[in-house]
Amino acid sequence: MSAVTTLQARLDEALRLSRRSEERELAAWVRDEGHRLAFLLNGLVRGTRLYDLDNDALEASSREMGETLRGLLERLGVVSLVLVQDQAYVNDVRLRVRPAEQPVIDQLVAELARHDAGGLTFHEALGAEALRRLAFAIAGPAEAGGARGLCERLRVLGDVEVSGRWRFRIGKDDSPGSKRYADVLARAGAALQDTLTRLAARRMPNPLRVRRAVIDLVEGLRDRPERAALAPFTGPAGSQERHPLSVCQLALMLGRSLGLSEAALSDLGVTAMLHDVGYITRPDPGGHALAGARILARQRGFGEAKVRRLLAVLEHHEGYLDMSREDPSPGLVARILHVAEHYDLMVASGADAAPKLTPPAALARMWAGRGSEYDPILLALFAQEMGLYPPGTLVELSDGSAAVVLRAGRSRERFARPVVARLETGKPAGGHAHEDPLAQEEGLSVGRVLDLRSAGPELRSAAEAILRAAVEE
Amino acid sequence: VTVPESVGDENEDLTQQEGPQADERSGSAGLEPGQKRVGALLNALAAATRTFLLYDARNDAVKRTLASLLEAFEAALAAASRIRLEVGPFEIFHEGARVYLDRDRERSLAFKLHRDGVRALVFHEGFGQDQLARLLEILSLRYGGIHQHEDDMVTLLWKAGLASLEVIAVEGFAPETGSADDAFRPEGAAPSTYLPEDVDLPLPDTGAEAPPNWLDIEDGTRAVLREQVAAESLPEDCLRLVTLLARGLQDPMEAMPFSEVRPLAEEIRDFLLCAERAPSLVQFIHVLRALAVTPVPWDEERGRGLAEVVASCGTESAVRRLIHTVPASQRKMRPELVEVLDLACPDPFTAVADALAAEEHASGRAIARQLLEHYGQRRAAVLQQRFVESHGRVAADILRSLARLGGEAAAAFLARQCGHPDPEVREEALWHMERRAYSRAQGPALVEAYRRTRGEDRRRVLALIERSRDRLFVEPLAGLVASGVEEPEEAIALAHVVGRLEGPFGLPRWRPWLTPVGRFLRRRLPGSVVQQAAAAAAVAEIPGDEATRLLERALAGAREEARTWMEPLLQERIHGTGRHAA
Repeated sequence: MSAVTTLQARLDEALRLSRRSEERELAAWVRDEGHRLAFLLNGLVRGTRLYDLDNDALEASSREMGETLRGLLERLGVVSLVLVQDQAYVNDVRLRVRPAEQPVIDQLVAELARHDAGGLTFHEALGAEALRRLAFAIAGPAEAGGARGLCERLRVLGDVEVSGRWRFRIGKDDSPGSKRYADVLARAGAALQDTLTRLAARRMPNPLRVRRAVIDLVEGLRDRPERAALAPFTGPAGSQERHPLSVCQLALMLGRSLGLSEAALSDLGVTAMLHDVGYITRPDPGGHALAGARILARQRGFGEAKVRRLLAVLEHHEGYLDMSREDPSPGLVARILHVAEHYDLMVASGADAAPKLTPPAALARMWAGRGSEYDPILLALFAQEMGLYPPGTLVELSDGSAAVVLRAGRSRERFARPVVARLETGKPAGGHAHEDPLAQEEGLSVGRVLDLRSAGPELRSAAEAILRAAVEE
Repeated sequence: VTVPESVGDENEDLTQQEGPQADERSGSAGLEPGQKRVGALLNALAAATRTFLLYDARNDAVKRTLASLLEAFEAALAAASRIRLEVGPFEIFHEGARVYLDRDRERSLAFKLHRDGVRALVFHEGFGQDQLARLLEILSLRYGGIHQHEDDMVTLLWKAGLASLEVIAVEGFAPETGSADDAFRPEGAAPSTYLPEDVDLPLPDTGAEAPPNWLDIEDGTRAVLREQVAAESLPEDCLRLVTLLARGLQDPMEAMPFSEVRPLAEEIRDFLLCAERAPSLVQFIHVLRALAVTPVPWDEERGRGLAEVVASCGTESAVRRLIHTVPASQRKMRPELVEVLDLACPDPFTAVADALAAEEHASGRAIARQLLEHYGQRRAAVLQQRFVESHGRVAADILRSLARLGGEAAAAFLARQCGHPDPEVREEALWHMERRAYSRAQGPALVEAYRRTRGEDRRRVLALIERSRDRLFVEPLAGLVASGVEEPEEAIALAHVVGRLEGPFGLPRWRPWLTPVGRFLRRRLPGSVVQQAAAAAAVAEIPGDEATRLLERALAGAREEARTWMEPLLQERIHGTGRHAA
């Protein structure tokens, strides 16, 4: 078989698998229906200048527009009409207009431009009357505040967003973001917060922003997986993003230990970030899994990541071997989350009410549930990454000095001899990550585990500073 | 929604020079040879990507485009081990020169890359066929239009992990809505306290603590786990998801309407509508049907909605997808396809017939034909009617299904089509007739087919008649000869067959044509030259001396024109080259 034929066969197979939902057919349909929507809207806007809102002349077109909008929403979930100079797009599909029709688009562009607006996003279907009022608002005088003013006027009609004018992002906007891990975490937190806000407003889920943040996390953990192990102690304490961010990093660490590809890791990370999203609508722990799946199921478009995410959100509280359940064990992603989540809840100093344990105690408690509550292989891998004294553990060394665990030895020989940094209160925290007293000093070992929460403030402060520095280095 | 960007910041000069719809590319004037090569490469890449929107990947046009692209890549990477491309809104630069320009947003490769945040691409040595296939897949998907997925070009390229392609993208990228003003964010409850204090409590009680120890985990063990998130396990995961959601739908505490998850169910249906995933599709339909059995008070529309989704697994377009996705190497119908159609389709026969009419690929047509045979077993008449209403390839396909149904009626029907005016159908009919045993039901149809055909097809029909050895053909064929076939070759061919079929019994029939009449010098054979030649041909096929003597006498009395036809026949017989040589 020639190279071209092989390439052709591969592409055929790949595209066949990828184009699961007949995107081309859908694009053609959106183009036609979007065209109808834009033209009906323009007609309504102009009509409201000629007739009263209850005039029969507007009835038919507003009803037709309502039906068109409903049809688009049913298939797309959200409908964005965007006008850019002389062109119109509906959900990324450019509307093709004949030269004779171009004035219609120009008119619509001009109508929205009077409000300093460039597009409308419909999140729900609107009735004929609401659409007439929407058209009336667009045809009316520009509000103070431009597009924001128009947005305020439309809010009473239904879930309609008004976007500003469109422009290319070039020049200064193009500066690459910082790859400092702290900045990566901050961006991830902001992305999560933004996504949660949109989900709380019943917007269509779109995990793209979270995915970008997760990709940065995957890259940030590629050579420094111990950063993830420290996540429960170094996250933004008290914030709502701490837990999902921490679970995300722990899950990525475990996924990498399992040998998942980076593509699979990014899917896993997105799932971990959104795994508790159900609490937005169901504050009870018992119902949040299904509630989360219900929220995320609103996302349109088939994808492997989406299916596995929904499944994991539904199953992440299921134990590995629940004899009361008819099904086999939960999916792999859910089992990874199960381990990461419980560890985080047991050791992190968050505001939640989970009983707090030292990292070794938490791991030991989980180890007792190995094979019943937790996947035995995954927990063994997790233990390899964590060691007997997981990162973040405050210990007293056999010479009586206090130290904090920075990373696990990641070998059988060093399972109980982690990389630690001695705590010297009152000194700056830098440079400890390169020290390894348990390897360098003969006869030195871990004496006992201390509880970071009950340690003195100076010791605690010094430990936390070292841990933060270790993440940043 | 990804941003369809404004062109407000465009280079004005370029805008004035070139209209937005034009397929503009930079001229090659002033470019170095290396830059020209890269320009050619990019144009080939853009063309290949667009080709997938227009044609099926198996199309010849795609093949030509791919060949050209591979050639361009080989040439460019042979000359330079590293090719760095800077991506602008509509143009792409290489070594400071613009090597690609296309302002049409739907066609422009630069636009698609730039829109998704790609600002530079670096191809390294080793960028081969595999990586090219993946790149093309990603590009063509992002050309596709509807932005429903959660990936953009940058995340897709990142996930693809192309070892020899470096992607430089802007951080933060374009905002989803493109709004420059965050004030338009939704007003919904900001989930600042979305995680309750008792989040995920109670944690499971695992009993006493047990300090962990190091356990070696074999690579094979990890691989087994990783397979659980491989693409191959996705159908199973889909089924599991549907099953779990179905449980949620039955929960009175949730009171979840089916409409809430219907779009998801339809997406899963679309994914499972594939020949390879038909077993999962069967299970999917079973789950939905089971769900429909128990009505719930909070969702009166549920039954109807479920029925609609189930029925949509058996529509003509669904069937078309099922058969279209059969791998080219496999042409055998799978029982799961029948199961899907039986479960979902009120009229599988019609759906399959419609799908066959629309299917172009040989493998898909083969499956459709087999399905048609399955459902046509007791509906031969309907299948025949469908055949009558079709033409060309579709009619030929239906005829093939009919041919395989067997039975006397089908045999006669098939024989009739040997004279069909449509050459594709005729060829199909002849092909089957040449490979199946003769039955008397075909007789009249074959004679009719003979009348209707010409040339090679007529010769094949005649061969079928001869092969039948059925003497019932004698009279009609002899009648044709007697009624005055104009072409001697044709009359002779017919007469040969009649002679062979009839044997010695035919001598009385032909003797009058070969016996001179008249007296002395006016003794001549009766009839036309064609009839005389045909009679001689028939007799030449009859064994025995009597036939030979008849031919000799006829030859003596024949005119010059008739002798040219008759003499070779006699010579063959006398000198041993004929079938009945003396």
